[in-house]
Formats: sequence, structure tokens, C-alpha cells
Amino acid sequence: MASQVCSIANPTPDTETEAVAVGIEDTLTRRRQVPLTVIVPAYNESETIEDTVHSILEQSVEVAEVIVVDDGSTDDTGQKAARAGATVLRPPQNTGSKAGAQNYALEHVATAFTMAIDADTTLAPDAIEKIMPSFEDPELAAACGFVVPRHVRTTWERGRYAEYLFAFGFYKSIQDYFKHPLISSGCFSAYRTDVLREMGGWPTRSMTEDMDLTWSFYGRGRGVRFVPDAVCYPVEPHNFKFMSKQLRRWSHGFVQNIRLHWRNLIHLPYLRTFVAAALWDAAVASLVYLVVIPVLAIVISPLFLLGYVIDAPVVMIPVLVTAGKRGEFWKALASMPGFFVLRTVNAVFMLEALWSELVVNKPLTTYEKGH
Amino acid sequence: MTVGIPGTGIGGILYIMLCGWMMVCEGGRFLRGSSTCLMRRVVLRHFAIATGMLVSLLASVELLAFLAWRFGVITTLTGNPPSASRQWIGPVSITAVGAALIVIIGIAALMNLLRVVVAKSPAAADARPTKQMAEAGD
Repeated sequence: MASQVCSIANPTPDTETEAVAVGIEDTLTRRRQVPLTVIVPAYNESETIEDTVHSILEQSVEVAEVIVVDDGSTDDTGQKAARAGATVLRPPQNTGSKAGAQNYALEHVATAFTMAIDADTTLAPDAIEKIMPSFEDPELAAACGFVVPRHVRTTWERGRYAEYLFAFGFYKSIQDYFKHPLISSGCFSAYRTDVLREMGGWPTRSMTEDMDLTWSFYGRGRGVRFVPDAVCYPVEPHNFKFMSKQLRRWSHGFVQNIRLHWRNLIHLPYLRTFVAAALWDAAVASLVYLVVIPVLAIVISPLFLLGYVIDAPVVMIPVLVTAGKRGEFWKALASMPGFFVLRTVNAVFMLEALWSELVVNKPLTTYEKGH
Repeated sequence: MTVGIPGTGIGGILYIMLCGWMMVCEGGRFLRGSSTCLMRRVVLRHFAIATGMLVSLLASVELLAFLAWRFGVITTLTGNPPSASRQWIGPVSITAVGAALIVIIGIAALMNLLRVVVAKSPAAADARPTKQMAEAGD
């Protein structure tokens, strides 16, 4: 399997001299090829699509094909993607979701591995080279990388930046140690194509296809890995309007997937506890932030308002350690207030999702992009 | 994507505890000869982070209890005069940490109980649309 993952396309020279010459030429002009097709679903992504395609084509290893699915864009996303060097596919009509667009492209994949990358996401130059060796494990169905927001300017982007440093730098590595990362992130993940097809492609039944697919893999006894050295840089929502769309989709997707998978989750060691703790915090911590703290602050003492930030020193430790490793200590420190703003806003969306999905049974069914 | 409310709720404390469990697991692997240098580094790094978080957590709880006493919150809640309320700082912080541990143990116990009484559902792991969903145009 390793040779399949990292195969090198070398011609066979006739003489030793020719071999040396070809070897030097290879070193200078050719990169190692990987049997990988990258699918980029795109809807009106003309501002970012070229950067995304370039970052894939300029990787330290060469991929077989980059397919951009121009999912009914009304701008010049398709033209820009084609100019950048991608194969552009256009479904007859908008597929209605990211998963739909990815599945449309999956039919055209002819390689052993498939990668999904969001149209607003760029990769570190060695991201694919770092992520592919994970597939030396034949049981592995998917592998995902470390996510760092590309722009860290507004309060929302700063909040997300600190949140990712916390979640990917601390939580996800622990989940990976116990062989159950909670999600193989949809913005940058690689899959074994045959397993992906066997599963029916990316599921369209929930708002978060990445979580649904990851938990479906586990349900089938397949593995998922997190590779912290493989880094990607998505554009995160920069204002409240777009952040609220993303948070609404994510929180509803989380609850929808618990409803879909709970019978299998409880048979998966560690993962069941990760999910149960996340669900507990989603419900109880949200209530504490939005009801208990304000009430106690009004009725007993304003001192209770400290509850919103009392864990700041605790949260800052993994965030700053991870940021320090990336040489971004001060940027992370300056982003911490955004973390607490985002967390409190997130609580509103989590409670709304729990109420809508579990109590009044009004599931979210419309996919809205986060930017 | 991330899920839930990241921070030091029950989830945060659970992960801090798991860092300790990682040390135990990696110790076992080391004795069996299956531990790698890379993995030991990851485990030690996380254990160091978790230790720092635990110390910060206990210090934060202690600080909160102290502030609650200093600004008369404990006095309001217990009805004791400030001098007598100071003795409540210890019990308040112990109660907070103890309650969190009880919730984590309760969640883990509940999950194990459910594991025994609920059967697996192979259909849930099938990400393909069901016939009904396809008919409904889902």
C-alpha cells in the first residue's frame, strides 16, 4: 500500500549515464506523484478559487487531477478555476449542498485516493505529502489535517483562530491518540476512494456531511486519523451574518448526527464519551452562559459575570503553547477576547439547535454557506 | 468544524483527565516495546499542557471562591457574617471540582449502561439515502 500511496513515476533508462541524467532531471523537474484526485466544490468562489487550485498544484507532491465542481455559480468561478489548471465540471443544476457537488465529481475519480478541499481553503506546500502516508494503514478510511484560519482580523476570525488552536492543538490530538478523531474536517480531508464509494459518497442527509461521514466510517469499523503536521488555511466568516449561518449549520448538524448515529456511537469506546461530553456542554454550558450567569449576576452579585471568562487562564495554556510552536504567540494572545465572544454566541445557536431538532422536531434542511 | 462549546466545561476537564490516562497507556506500550519516540513526545507534551491547565483550573476556582467571600457573595448565600464565611472558601472550590468529576463519571457510566442495553444499528452507518428519503426528494 505504501508504494501505491507514494509511487514514483520513473522511466527505466538503458545505461548508467542515462540513469544519472534522468535522475537529475527528475529531481529538478518532477515531483513525486500520488494517486490522488482533489475535489473542490465551488459556488460563487471567484475570489478564492485560484489561490485554492494553485496551492494544490504547487504541492511538494504531484496529484493526478484537481476537479473543481462549479455548482451553478453566477460569477466566473469556473473560468478562473480552468485558467488556474483545474478540470471543471458543471452539474446540470445546483446540487443544493457541498456534499451533492462532491458526489457529482466522485463519479469521475479514477485514483485510489480522493481528497476534499473547500474552495476557500489553501494548503501548506507539504500538506498532501504529510497526510498521505497515513494510508499505509489498510484499515484507514480517511485522514484530516490541522485547520488554521487564513485571515485573523475581525473579532469573529480571531475567535475562530483561538478556538481552532484550542480544538486542533489539544482536543483533536487526544482524540487521535485514542484512534477516534471526532470529525475528519470537510475543508481538508483525504479518503480511500473505494471505501468512500462503498459508503455512497458524502452523505446529504445532515447539515454537516463531514461528521456524518466520519461517524459512518466508524460504524463500519473503518479508521480515521488526524495528521497535525498537514496544515490548511480556510477563509473563516468575517462578520456576524456569515458566522451565524455557519454556527447554525454546525450546531444543527451536530444534533442531527447524534440522532442518526447514537446507537452506533455508544458502542465506540472513547468516541461515545467525547460526544456525550460535547453534548452535555452544548446544553448545560449554554444554559449557564445565557440564563444562570445573567440571573445570578442580577439577583446576587455582578461578580458572577466573571463566569464568562473565569476559565481564561486554563483555555489560554493550550492555545498559547500551540501558537508558540507556530511562532504566533502574540497573535493568539490578542485573539483570546474573540474566543469568549464566539463561545457565548455559539451557546445561543447550540440551544436553538437542540430546541429545534430535539424538542419541536423542526430540522434545518437548507444548506447555507458560511461566507 | 468544531462542535459544542469549547473550553473548560465538562469536556475540558474530561480531556485533562484523558491526558493522564494517555500517560498510563503509553507507559504500558513502552513496557511492551510498542511505544515510539514520536508518540512519547506527543503524550508528554499533552500531559505537560494538561498539568498546567489543571493547576490553572484549581487556582481559578480558588480565586473565584475567594472573590465570592471578599465581595460578600458567600455571606449573602449562607447568612453568616464575613468573618465566619471565610471558612466556606475551601468547601466551595472542592464542591465545584467534585461536581464536575461526578458529572464526568456519571456520563461515562451512562454510556456504558447504554452500550449494554442498546443494540448497534447497521443502517445508521449507511450514509446512502434511504428509499424513503429518495422518494421524498431528500
